[in-house]
Parts: sequence; structure tokens; C-alpha cells
Amino acid sequence: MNLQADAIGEILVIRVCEPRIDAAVAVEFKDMFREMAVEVPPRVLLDLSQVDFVDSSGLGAIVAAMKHLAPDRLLELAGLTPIVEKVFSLTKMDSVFPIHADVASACGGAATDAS
Amino acid sequence: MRLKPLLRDVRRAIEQLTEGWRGGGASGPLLMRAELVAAEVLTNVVEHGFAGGHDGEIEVVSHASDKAVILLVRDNGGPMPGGAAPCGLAPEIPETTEELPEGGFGWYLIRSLTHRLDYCRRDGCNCLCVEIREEDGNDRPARRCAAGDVRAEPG
Repeated sequence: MNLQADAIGEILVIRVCEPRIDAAVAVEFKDMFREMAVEVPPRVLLDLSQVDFVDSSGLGAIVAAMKHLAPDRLLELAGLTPIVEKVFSLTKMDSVFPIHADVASACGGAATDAS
Repeated sequence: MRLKPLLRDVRRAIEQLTEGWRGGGASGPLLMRAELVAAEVLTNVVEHGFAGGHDGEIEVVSHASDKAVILLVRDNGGPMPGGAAPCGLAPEIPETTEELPEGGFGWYLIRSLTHRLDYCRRDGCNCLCVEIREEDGNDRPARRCAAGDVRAEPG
């Protein structure tokens, strides 16, 4: 599991450099995210633009990451590819996460409505 | 195709299956939905049917065209709870983030994305057949539970 963290202003951007977040790597993702998300700035953004595939286990791991930041922070998402967007919309999780078209728009302005 | 009940083998199987389906003419939303269904079905077999044990075998047969993908999965793991495939009710979205569900989405996704699903237990094996159709591109809401259905276990 390759996650890379960058601070862009007041935003911690965690880029998932993997093609898949599935059952095989869901636990590893959760553990790595927890290690990276200590003393975080006000906003945390998960860049999923390199992720082609998420299954229900991967979705659960991203939800777990969101819960790790609660109640003080939300986990924002950017760069959802088609399958990832489908999984979030079918499960209505797109109503829970602030979703941005890409990292640039997340850092520059308001969330786009993905629904 | 035969595979051992290991998650890394599931990942490899999904790659081979989608490659084959693409060759059979499946593309776009149909291929995407079939990949998701296959991943959920095979992961469930590994995590629940075999419950982490690695001794067993999963056999997968499939057929694809530009109109549909049919997937047959046979395994010698434990039976489905209650002898029926879970009906896959959608997990509810709670008021607070802390209460969000981290599991229980798998069967809901399978039911939402499939046109037909048959399950039986025969000769000590689970036999599951699912069909994903191109014409269902907008996805059907997961059907209501019928008598005898079992609610999906979280996880």
C-alpha cells in the first residue's frame, strides 16, 4: 500500500498511489492512514484519482478513515474514477463525504456536488 | 478457472476475468458492474464461506457478451447462513460520523447490480450464479427481502 502525504497550505493531502483498494489491502490502508493522520491540519483530503477500483471492503476502510478523524474533522475526497463513484453513490456514502472533482478544486474552492 | 480461498488470488482472478469479458465484448458500465459483482462474490466466499481458512477450492466459470456477463461460482466452503443468499438490505446512514457502518455493503451491491441471482447448496458445495445485464445500466434498487431471505451479516 503506497500512500503519500503532502501539506498544501492548511490541507493535508493523502494521495493513494494504488490502482485498487479492495479486500486484499483494506486493513493495510486503514493502518497506514491512521499512522499518517496524527496532528493533522483542519482539512484532510484523500486523493483517489489513481484508484481505478474500490469494493465494499475498500469503502469500509475509507469510512473507517473518516471515523478516525471524527468528530473534529471530515475526510474529504477528490478525483473519484467511475467505479469508485458508482460504489459511493449506490451506498449513498456520497452524501456523507465532501467530494471534489480533483485536488486543485478542493484546494481552491467549494466542493462540487457529485450526486 | 480454479483458485484457492485467498484474497490475493481473488484479485488475480478478477484481473483475468475482466480481461476475458472485455475480449467477449463487454465494456463500459457493464464491465465495471460485472467486475464489482465478481469481486464482492469471491471476497464473500473467501471471508465467510472459508472464514479465513485456506484449505478449499473455488471454481469459476463465466460467459460474457456486449449484452451480459454470467458468472458461476462453485466452492466447498461453509453454506450461506440460513441456506439462502443474503437479501442485501442497504445499511442505514446514521446521524453521526462515529456511527457510520464500515461493512454490510457487499450483498447490497451484489443485489443492486445483478439482474438474476440463484444460489443452491449441493453435494457439500455452494453454487452461485449471477447475471449482470447491459440493459440494467442505471442499476436496480436492491429488491425487497422475500420470505426465507437472511439479512447480510456486517463485514
